[in-house]
Amino acid sequence: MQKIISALLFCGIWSSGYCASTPDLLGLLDDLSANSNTASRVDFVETRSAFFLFDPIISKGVLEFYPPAKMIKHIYYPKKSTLSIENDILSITKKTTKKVDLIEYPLLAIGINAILWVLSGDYAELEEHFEIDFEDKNKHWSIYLTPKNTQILAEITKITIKGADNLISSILLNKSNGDYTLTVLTQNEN
Amino acid sequence: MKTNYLAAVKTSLLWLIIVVAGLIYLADNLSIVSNLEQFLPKNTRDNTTQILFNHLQKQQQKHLIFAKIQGADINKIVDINKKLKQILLKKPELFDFIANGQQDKNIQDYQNLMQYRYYLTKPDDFSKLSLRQNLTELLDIFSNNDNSKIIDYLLKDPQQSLKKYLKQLTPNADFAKYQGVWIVKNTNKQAGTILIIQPKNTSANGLKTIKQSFNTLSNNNANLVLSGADVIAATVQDNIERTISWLSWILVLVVVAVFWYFYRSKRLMIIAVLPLLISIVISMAVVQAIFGNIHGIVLAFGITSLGVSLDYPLHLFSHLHNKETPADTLKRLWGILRLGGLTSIFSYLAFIGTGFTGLTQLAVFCAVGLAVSLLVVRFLLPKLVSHLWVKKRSIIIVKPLSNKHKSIVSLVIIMLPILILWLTPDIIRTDINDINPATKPQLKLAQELRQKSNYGDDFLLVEGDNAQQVLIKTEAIKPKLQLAIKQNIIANFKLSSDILPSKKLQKLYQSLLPDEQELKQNIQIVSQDLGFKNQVFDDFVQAVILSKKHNLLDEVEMSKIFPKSGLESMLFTQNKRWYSLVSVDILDQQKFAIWLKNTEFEYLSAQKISNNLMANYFSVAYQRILLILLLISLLVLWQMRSNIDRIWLLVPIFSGVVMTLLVQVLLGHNITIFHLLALLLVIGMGFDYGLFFNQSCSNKRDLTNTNYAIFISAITTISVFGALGFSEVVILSGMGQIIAVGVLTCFISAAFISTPQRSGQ
Repeated sequence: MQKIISALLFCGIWSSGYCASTPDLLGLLDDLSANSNTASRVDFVETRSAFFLFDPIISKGVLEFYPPAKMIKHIYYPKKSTLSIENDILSITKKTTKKVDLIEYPLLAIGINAILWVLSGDYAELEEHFEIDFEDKNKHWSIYLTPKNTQILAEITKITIKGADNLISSILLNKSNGDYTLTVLTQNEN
Repeated sequence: MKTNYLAAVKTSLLWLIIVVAGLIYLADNLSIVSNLEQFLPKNTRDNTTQILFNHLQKQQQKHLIFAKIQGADINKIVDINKKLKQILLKKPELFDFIANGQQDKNIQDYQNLMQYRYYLTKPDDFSKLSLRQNLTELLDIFSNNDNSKIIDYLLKDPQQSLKKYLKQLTPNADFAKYQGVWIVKNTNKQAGTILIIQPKNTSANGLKTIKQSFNTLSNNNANLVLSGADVIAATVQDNIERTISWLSWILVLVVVAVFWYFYRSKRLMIIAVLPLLISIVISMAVVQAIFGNIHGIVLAFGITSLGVSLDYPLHLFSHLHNKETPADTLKRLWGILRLGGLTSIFSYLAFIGTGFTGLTQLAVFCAVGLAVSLLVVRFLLPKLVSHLWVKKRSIIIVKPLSNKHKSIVSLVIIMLPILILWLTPDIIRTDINDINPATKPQLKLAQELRQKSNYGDDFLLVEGDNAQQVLIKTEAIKPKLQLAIKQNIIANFKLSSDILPSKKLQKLYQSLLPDEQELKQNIQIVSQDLGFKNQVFDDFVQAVILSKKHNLLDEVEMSKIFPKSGLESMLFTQNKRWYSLVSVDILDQQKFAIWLKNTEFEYLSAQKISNNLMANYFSVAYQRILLILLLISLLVLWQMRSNIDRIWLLVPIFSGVVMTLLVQVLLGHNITIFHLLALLLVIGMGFDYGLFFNQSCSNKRDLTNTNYAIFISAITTISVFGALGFSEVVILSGMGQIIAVGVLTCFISAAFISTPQRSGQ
């Protein structure tokens, strides 16, 4: 982990002050993937609302990305746990490790894969699974992903990924029952 | 002349009508099967054995298909495995379940069971402390997992009672896993991924779909190996069909070659095959009518055995000459033909009623076929042939040995093999797998995968007057089995009472459920503390309350709400008694045997019972062959009263039997029940050859004709059975080898020893 070049942060965004213009989505995805070819890590704060809870659950931790398709989420608050995704297997480690095959959980898979495909600049996969809208105003951009699969759409209505320049700043997942999960990413302090 | 012609036409028409009737019957009814069960003992009087056999036949797991994907990069075969599973899951009309190691219990598929969950497994504690733990875990799961279906389920069943119940029913396979998928490694350490598939009713369509789906996913490197009882049956059927196909061609080629070379007559060739063709049709029709089907092995071996029907016309053709009519020639030969034929027929009939449907079928097929052949030769052939058509070639006449040399050679060729066989240990095999027509690699793979997936064939039997009594007894076993697991005696077990607890236990579980007020109060306090909204757990509370009022479940109700549970194969009634089969996965046979002695359980092993029955049957078959040999010996001794030379009749029979067994042992093969059956043909041929050489050699012409007929008979029999010796079906190849060697021995010993010294003089 120490070998991870701390200067190259999530997607390499904060690393070099690299600030290429992103006139369109393809250009942005190219830039994101070009900058994510080495390991990177960011802090996150996740706010997860649920129809059965009075208040959303907030969790905090560090998110690591190892190109092309490995991601580890270290949750430090409210309870320590680690989630890692590699080759479509989600491993949840608390006291023990439990493995879940994402192929069998398409709803879980689509949210995770959307982020991985954006980070790796895989436009073809994004286009296959989502209707894509893209906004770019004064270097602040938003990607709106609406699932094409009707069964998934019945559960997840939209995934919104926002950023500025080559920075991803937040990921919002909206559900059909009104619940949402908002993940805000910030520069890792360590 | 005209009268003869009319008689020939009438007789031919009669036989034609019989054959056409047989063909019409077969066209409507013929059913060829290839399952091994017909070759398993059927007439056991042992009650427990009957129970096991009957129920193993009905068990769903009997039809499991084991699929192994191998040959490509591990990541690739894992990927193919997962995708294949997804494709097959979309075909519920063909498959009941598909397991590959991935978590595949979708809780939503078990909605029917939700309302009964508190009867099926011991309910959790409903105290505030326990509920707090349950709801905290729910929040944990929610934090880490965005799967709304799981969360919906947990809100209804926060204690995960249904999940715990289903988990105890899932077989714990011993396969290693890679990326969540079961893998096995072969001796070259090449990995293969595994799927276990339960086809719905018939597996034929299922097998086809699995293969087609795999082909759409696979690249050139990856390959699919399928195993399991139904796969083996399908492969064996293919192999048997292939064997019958090429054997028929060899038979045709041999017949054409023999008649073209030795008789130089197409007409004789056509007439010679009539007894064979008519006997095949009638034998098939009779077996089909009696048994309702014909086993592929019976067909392949039976048709080949009836190839000896060609011998009868050969004798007739070879003895035809211009000084007597064909009918007179046959009358002269009839005594010997009849004696030889009837001896073979009675030898086969001796195997009826020995307990194996398949072998009884074979005995009936051969006995009927031989009888029909004899009748065709007796009543039809003389009316169709003429001595003018016979243009024989000259052959060397074998000169018999002197009586002194005969005695020495006879002793050597009979006693020496007996001595060697006597001194060779473990030549008899009664392992059921040795008579399985599947190839060894198929059997090995099926056995390995079945064992690792914990679908074993070791059981404990629990008996009672009714289902509830049996379930209560089965529940009482559980603690002992759990202890046996801790002591590494067994690895696993499966109980019917884990699927359906007895009503007594269900009532106990019901009594553990809390009062409505108490539960409502506890859940309200805990859920508010943890930030849950009001009424979120109303469904949960309602389910608990209703569970206190529901009727308890019995086996009939259970089979309706959970038809795929497998309960019916584990809890059943037979002969007005109820039984429960407890499947155990034995780790250490020795420890298990000791453990078993200290319990009152009745242990059943499908394999061991089959092997024991096979050993018993082998012993019965062996005794019957000895009896046949004894009866033939007595017959010969009786004939010796008028002619001392009749003693030499016995040499081809005994030498044929012991030499064939010796060759099998020298080739490193063991003797199975099918080898014994093949010996019947050797005994029949040996007696036949001996009779002709011994009795029809009053002059040189007869001796020449006999030599001619038997020489050709031996060539055809050895060629066809020699070819059968190369069949892929192990039973057929073993029988082919036995008969080819046996007939060769019989021919040589009959020619040199059975022929009287003064013959031809």
